[in-house]
Amino acid sequence: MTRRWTSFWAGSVSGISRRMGSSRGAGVCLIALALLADAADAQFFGLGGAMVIKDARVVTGDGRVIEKASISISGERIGDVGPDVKGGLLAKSWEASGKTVAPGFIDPYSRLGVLLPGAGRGDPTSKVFDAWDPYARDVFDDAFRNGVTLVYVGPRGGAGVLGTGAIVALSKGEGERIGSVVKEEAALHINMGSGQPAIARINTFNAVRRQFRDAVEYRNSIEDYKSELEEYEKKIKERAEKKAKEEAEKKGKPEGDKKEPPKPDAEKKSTDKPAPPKDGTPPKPKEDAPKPKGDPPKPKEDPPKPKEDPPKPPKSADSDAAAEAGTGPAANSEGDASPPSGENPLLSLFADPPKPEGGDKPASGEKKDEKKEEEIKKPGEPKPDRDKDVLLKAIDRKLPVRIEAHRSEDILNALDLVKEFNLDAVLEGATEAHLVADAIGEAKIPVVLGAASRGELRGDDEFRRFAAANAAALDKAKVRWAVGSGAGSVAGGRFVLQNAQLTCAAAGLSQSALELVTRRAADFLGLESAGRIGKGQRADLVVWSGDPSDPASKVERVYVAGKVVYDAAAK
Amino acid sequence: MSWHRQASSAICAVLILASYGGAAERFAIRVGGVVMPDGTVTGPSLVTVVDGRISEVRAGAEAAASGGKVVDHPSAVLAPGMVDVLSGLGVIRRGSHVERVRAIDPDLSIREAIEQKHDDFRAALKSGVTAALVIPAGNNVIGGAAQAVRLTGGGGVEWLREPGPLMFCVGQGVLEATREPTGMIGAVHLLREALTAAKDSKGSSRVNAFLKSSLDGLLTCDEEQEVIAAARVFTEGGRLPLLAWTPLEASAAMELVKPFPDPLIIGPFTLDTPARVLRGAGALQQAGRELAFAGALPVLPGSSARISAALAVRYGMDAAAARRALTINAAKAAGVAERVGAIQPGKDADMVIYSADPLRLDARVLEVYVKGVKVHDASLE
Repeated sequence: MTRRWTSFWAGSVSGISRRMGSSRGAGVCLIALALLADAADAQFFGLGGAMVIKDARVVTGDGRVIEKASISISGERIGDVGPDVKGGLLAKSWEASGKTVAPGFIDPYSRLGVLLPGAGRGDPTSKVFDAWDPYARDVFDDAFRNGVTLVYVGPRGGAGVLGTGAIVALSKGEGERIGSVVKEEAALHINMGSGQPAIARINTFNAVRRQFRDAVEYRNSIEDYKSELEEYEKKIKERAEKKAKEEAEKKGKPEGDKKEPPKPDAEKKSTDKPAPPKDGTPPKPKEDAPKPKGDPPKPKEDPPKPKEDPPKPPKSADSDAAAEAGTGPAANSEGDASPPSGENPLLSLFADPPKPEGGDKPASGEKKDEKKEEEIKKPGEPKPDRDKDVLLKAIDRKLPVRIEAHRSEDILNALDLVKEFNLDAVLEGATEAHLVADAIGEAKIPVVLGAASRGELRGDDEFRRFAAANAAALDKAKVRWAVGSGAGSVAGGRFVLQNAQLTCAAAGLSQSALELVTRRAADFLGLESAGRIGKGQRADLVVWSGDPSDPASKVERVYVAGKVVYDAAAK
Repeated sequence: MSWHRQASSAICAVLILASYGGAAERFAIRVGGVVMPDGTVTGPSLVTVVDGRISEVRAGAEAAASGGKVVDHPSAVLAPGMVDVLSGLGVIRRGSHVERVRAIDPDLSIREAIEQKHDDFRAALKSGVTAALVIPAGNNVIGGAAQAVRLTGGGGVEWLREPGPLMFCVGQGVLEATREPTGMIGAVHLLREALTAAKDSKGSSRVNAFLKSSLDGLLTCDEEQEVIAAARVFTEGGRLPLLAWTPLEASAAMELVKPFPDPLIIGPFTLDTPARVLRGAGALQQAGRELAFAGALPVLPGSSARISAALAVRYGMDAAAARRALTINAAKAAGVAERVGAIQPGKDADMVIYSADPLRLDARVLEVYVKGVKVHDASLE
């Protein structure tokens, strides 16, 4: 916020100074204003923050080419772009006439910098950045030499749920470190294991689906637990109140009272009701228990049942938990025995057997009362499961999902998974997308394609039906797509533009590969402030000796987040 | 009405036939640029084809055609069809390029194993490859004769020259546990024996012919040490073959390849090739050597040689030299440079129209001509 505001302010100040400069005779004022602007820069962006690249040809990334313009950099952002942009008095300027400035290339499907193979081990909580090697200087230099400044990296390795990917800017960190996370946990990765034999792929898909279903169940059990806990707390409170009341009654009324209730149960209720006006249902049965002595069983049955009905649903799970806890017979005490019957109407028909038990208990006398009090079991809290928490985030669409699938059947399975759990998904690789493009289009799932260069000679692997026209088929089916270098190798991650060029050329598409790896890649990753050159955008800029699409052009300088990360002259 | 429709479809059929088949006697192509034999790209030009051969290349947007049809592609670039050096087209998928019974087997000819109507040829043609030097796999020290072929419109091939060059290999591929050589010393020894015998004209006729310069030779190597040993043995024999070798470190390469003639065959490079290897091409070229890029189809895609060239240029090779390496030098490596590999009067009209400079990887193949006949038109796909 502050940044945007200041750059806006600084911009307007320099605007004023320009206007005043043209009207002449306001030199002092101009200097003062310029100093002010610089002071603002210095204050907010640190020393040396302001920088101007002068008089370059600018390829903006959103389809425009400005033949001659200057770009000012303020902190991590672009201050301004235009024919006569100035940075202020303290700003350094760099003469770049004859050179071309383009946005840094963005690789939406990369493994650059992730030098450890198999970063993910089927663990949803794995994070790819943990495998990032910030000191792989030659890898990063090679990326800079080819104009790459921002990458999406995901965990690679086995099949199944692999962990979360991240968007990483190749910016300068402490010392020689390169790479800072722009977006952590950018997406949860699932690999459908298209390279595996058929049975293994079936297993992979089933395992993934089960993981998601388990996550849903896990959530249900947590919700159950919460309501049980609420119920439990309510019960405890009620019992305490009841007890207090009882004791108060005992003190107040002599034993004679006790003889009254045994009459008819109906009366009992009426007498009870005024006592526990707060619906003191649960404690009642216990009270009843001693009373029934010698009473006909029938009347007893009726009252407890209706009373216990409300607490039933929670109890059902409660009793399970109690059973698990190994409380054994105690779990069967009247209070607990009836709830299952409430859970299932059929069971309630067979609810008779527990009654005799209930009938037995009273025989054991008042001691039982105390025991029963202990028997209101605290519901067991489900074990926290961080893996499932990650999956639940995906199910709630708070975390996008990336599904790597190459074979058409795996793609269709992926679409099923997306549908079942309503995931916010992107397909990765999608080698055989051309065979099922319509289904992908119908599901409105975007696709990020990988390596465009594959030979004709393929075995029965996941790339066996690789088709150069894949991108064209996606276009036709109106699928939103992007292209990255693919996660084939670390080295492949530098030729992001070349891979996009090959993708377009092979598919017969005449669209701009450069736009594909700048603005379109940024949009695909949801980064509106990257991939183009404009006011307030990320200052990820590459200065080329000529047009970036010409293989003979050399990268002369690279800025990431406003800092020089590569300088050919210094090498 | 129905007569009308019939007639119009007949006309269509004729037009399609005309655009594809029938040796167009004389026509011209007007393009925005031409890749010249020296590797530079000219401005707008008019290239005239007569009877399947290039008859004239005239610069200038206003150059007038002297009769015949004119194909207009004002923003496109015309280049010679590519020659896929170290090719496996027509043989690899059937494994028919592998023979490992005898390490010295000069009388083999890969020609006998080429499946002339293989699908791979048609696919290659669409990528702008109009010729190939099909080689036996490097499993023998002397592996027989390679074969240069031209890819024709019908999806087949024709022989572009007599069998040749003779293939030599000193590399890991020649070692076998079941026959000699089992180690690199043995491989070099077998090669020396064969060459010494030929020096006295007592060797196999093809090895004799190689030393007498009536048959070309082509040597493939993997490691530096193999290049050094082979250079010594061939120098003793009196003639050095062309060398196909991709240096892993640019620094030492220049010294090692010195004895071998131009062009040096290098690559193929892929998007995964490390920078230090990519720099090798530029280093050799800067040191004055002429290069030719290997394509290695169908293991790699049809644009393989172009990818090699584009990446070599990114890592320091001169653009014009890279275009030469892609066209005329590849033709020289295959021994077919008198016929193809350049847009030059007298050469066969095996040409490709690209949407831009073929060094740019976003350049699309628009049309492909073989002997002046259009064999591929992307706009009809």
